[in-house]
Amino acid sequence: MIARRATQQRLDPLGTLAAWPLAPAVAAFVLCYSVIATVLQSDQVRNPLLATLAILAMAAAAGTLVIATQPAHSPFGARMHLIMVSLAVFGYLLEQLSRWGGNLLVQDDFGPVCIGLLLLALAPYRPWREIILSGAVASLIAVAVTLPQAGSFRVDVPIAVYAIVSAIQILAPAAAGAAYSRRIVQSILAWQADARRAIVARTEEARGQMARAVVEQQVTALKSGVIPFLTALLDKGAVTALDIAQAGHLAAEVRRSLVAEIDRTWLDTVATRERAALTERGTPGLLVVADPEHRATAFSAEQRAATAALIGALCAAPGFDPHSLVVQIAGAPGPAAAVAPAALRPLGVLAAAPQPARVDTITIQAALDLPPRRVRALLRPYLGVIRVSFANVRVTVRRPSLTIEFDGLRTDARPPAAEAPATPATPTGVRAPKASRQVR
Amino acid sequence: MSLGLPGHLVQATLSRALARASHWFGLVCLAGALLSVLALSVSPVTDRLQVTVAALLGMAAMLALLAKWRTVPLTIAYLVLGAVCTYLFTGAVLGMPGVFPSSDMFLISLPKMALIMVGGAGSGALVGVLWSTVGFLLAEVAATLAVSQTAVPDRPDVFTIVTYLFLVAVMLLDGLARRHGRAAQPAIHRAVQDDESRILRHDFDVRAIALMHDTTLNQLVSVARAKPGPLSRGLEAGLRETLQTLADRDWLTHVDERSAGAPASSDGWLSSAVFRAIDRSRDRGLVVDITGDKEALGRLSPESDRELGLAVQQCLVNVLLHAGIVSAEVVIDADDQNVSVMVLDAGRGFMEAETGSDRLGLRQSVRKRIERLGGSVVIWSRPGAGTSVLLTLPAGPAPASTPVSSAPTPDSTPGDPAAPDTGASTPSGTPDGAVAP
Repeated sequence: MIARRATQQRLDPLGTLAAWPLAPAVAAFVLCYSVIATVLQSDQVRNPLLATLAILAMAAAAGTLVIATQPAHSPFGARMHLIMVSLAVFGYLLEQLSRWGGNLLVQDDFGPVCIGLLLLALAPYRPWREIILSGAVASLIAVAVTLPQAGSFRVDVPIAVYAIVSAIQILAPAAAGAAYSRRIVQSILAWQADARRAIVARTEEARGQMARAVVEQQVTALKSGVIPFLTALLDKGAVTALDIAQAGHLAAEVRRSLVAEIDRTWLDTVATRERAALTERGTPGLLVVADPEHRATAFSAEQRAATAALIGALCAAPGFDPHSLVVQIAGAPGPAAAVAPAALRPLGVLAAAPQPARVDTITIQAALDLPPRRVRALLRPYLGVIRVSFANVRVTVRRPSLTIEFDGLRTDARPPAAEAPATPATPTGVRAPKASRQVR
Repeated sequence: MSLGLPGHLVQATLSRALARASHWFGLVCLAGALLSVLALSVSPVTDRLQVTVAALLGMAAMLALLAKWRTVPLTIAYLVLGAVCTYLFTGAVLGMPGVFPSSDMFLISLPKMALIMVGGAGSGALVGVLWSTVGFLLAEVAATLAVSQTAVPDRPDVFTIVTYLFLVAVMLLDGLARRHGRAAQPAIHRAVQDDESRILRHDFDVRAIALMHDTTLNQLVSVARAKPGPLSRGLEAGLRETLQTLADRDWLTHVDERSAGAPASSDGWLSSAVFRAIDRSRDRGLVVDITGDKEALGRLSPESDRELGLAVQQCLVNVLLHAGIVSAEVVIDADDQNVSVMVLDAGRGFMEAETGSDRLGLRQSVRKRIERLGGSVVIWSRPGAGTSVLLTLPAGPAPASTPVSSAPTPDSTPGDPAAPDTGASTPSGTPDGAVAP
């Protein structure tokens, strides 16, 4: 991820989950404060309608904050950020208009304080530049709105002081929010770099052993048939028709196993491992992976880890029915292709046609005999991670069935349909595009 | 990336981030206080304002130092200086005759809030609360003292109190509430680690499969196409070599290129894997003509060299198995960045599109290998018109005879070899794919 757009929520979704009560708290404070300030200073209000609208706008801003910070809506996007800040600034402007000419003090206006607090609450969710930029723009607006009201203020100090007070109420919390966001992102990135290095180092240590295991496995497979056959052939010094037939047979077998092995994706490996873990726990199960087009190969490291962790959590959950897990990856053309009417598309997929981004929809189904609340609580951290790696996460809990769906968007220009005929040696292709598995 | 902070780092990291946030909050407050004092000084009021400016600057400087080095002495120094500054500021501002009606002005709160935002040394939530509480008490005492010396009535300062409570709430929330979801963090971490292992394992599998193909499968196919009778010289050599390879520990080094030592060599050509591959094919009865800049192969890194050798071997095996011809030509070429090897034959040829998608030879043994190292593979073939396979790999600078680690610049385009004319180019390449059943 690009560091300048990084947020704590994207980098450390679990940590951000822990901080989420802050958002409703800030929202509640903003709401109460705007109501109380308006009621206490009702003598300054010249236009009650505008004052009411101001409270409503501020409440909407607070509501936006609460909704956008909900774990189910993660990650907090730029659009919500903009909506929230605009509503808050709008509320502030309405408030100022409602007391125009009657405003005695700036410091007791609720607008600046609320805007500042709302920006502060963005700290775990938005990049620091955007927070401080919003703060700067809002405080400029505050200064611009404060200066023309010089005539009505009660305390006789230079108007600049009023402007400073209104701007500081926004800027100080916004700066704090931005500083937090920047610092925490730096720390997490530093830790991730370290952790990655450690993981790579540990994997390196296991390298020799793993290579040996792979070789062992291949050779063992050959020891039963191929090696004795070739040895016998060499000893005999001649080939018979029977040998020729057997060689063809063995070649077909070896090829079949090689192709099958090449077609295995990480998802199959994950399923195998979970199956082994289930057996170890004494509840052997059946995990089904349905990924006929091997879409799993296109997943990023982050997506792979998040999915594997979620599957692992499901299998280890109490009340999990070991025969119930089905992981399915199906594809749909991306939004770009969906727009184009089917009739306009050329017959047969031409490789030359620009390929739209594709969407892989992952569906995980399982039976989990737990109350829905507990299921959600159990999965919350894992779904938090899934949400930052995938789009459109949908969770349906109908005891005991549980369905989790999410979309992975990818933009690779090489859909499997186009790659097969192009060359026998598909560059991407460790894997044979399905079906035609006849062996020569 | 989902590698969130692990439990043992959370407290320290959050504490640092909160301290940084506090410091910026405080600095902005102090900047506001400073600007206000300057604005107030414009109209002729008291001389004390000048002293206050100095005190505010000192406090801001101390806060900046504290932001850089969060140590106990600096924290204490900031608290003391901040209290003095608050006293001076409050006295100076409220001392302006007849300006402020009471002490509960936001302006007065600015240095006090900065004092609360001490963000002192230490990494526990409770330590942070403690420092802020000290700051709060000092600020209130200093301000109360200052107010008592002016004519302005003292009123509780809501801004400071609310700020203090808010800060404490945030610190406690971040410090103590981070309990749930903790079990998930190690699970995620493990998933990332497992993924790394899986990828490495997969990489090994792919290479092992390529090797299996090079050895076993090719051998079985040549047996399957042999005529009944005594073994031919080529077939026998091939069988011997296959069995030897399978019995050998070499296998391991091929699967894991890092466990292979770098072959130090003086003669780039004779020690190159391409030479050995050609030599081996000659043992099997193929006639191979070699032309071009053979020494250039010495510029390849050991890994590139080995993989190129295996790829060339596969191309030559394809000639033997599928081209219907027993001669081939190998042309070695090099420029500043790349070394390329072209394997040509005048055999049967094939249509790429007609090759079975389950065929592994070109895919695994040639293309995958070369592309993994940042090289490229170009194939020309037509039925009856022979096949040419051009393998290009990035290589070290021209004069070096020592192997240089390959800098994988992807897809350096091969110097365009004249498109193979019908006669010369060759059919070898059918990856095992093109073979007629």
